[in-house]
Amino acid sequence: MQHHQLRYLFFAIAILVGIAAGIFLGWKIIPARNVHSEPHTLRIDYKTDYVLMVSELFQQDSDFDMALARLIYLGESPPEEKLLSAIQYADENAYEYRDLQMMLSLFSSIQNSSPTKD
Amino acid sequence: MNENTQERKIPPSFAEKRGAWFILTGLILGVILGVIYSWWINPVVLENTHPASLETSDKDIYRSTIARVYAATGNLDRAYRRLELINDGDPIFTLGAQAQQALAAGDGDQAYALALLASALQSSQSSPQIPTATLQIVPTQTLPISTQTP
Repeated sequence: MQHHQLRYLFFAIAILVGIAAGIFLGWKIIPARNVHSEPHTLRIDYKTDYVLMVSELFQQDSDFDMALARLIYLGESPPEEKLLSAIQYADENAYEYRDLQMMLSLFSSIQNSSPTKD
Repeated sequence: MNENTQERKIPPSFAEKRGAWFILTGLILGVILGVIYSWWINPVVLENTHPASLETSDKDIYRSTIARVYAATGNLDRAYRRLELINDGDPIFTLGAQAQQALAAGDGDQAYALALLASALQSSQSSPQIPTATLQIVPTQTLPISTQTP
């Protein structure tokens, strides 16, 4: 292999090593200091607890629109979807009966308010 | 080597003089490309995160929801455990500061709920506690004085 060909090879290897280092820097080191998460990325148990809080407030004030507005905090997915996954998680993890009932109550209110799809 | 030939030193070419700088150039170029890829083309997507990692504004909404639930239910234990998730350094101070901000913004209900929770936490911390550690007095032990017998 000629001298200048060897140079090209080492240059290419250096670029590849640099790319690997740059990706490691960008994914692991720098985001770990600066990146903040958003509510829709919360773990399912924290999302369930938030849904429970919204249900607790709904039970007190019966403000349906406000409950929907509070659920938007967890992302743009439909509120029924959020409630259903929270209820499912709560059921699987033996939440208190009263808590489950509050979430079910909000879920049924949302279902009753949404137009029927036939 | 015969008489007609003579030894001559060939000056190193320009390429040889440059040494290994091309490797450093390649590394720097690679790092730039790698950072561009990891920040803009394929950035980190967070999943299954903890409330403590939320943005300050999202933490404020989470905190005010906790306070409103406390104001509605009066369950301090649950409110305290929820506040722990946000991992505020001084939760009472943070609640108080947020209550002032809410008051300044004209949201009296939210300010009341936040202040109520701050006050409840404050009073639960400053309630008199029975000291559990008691000073145990241990009698000193003395050894019998030995007498020497002749």
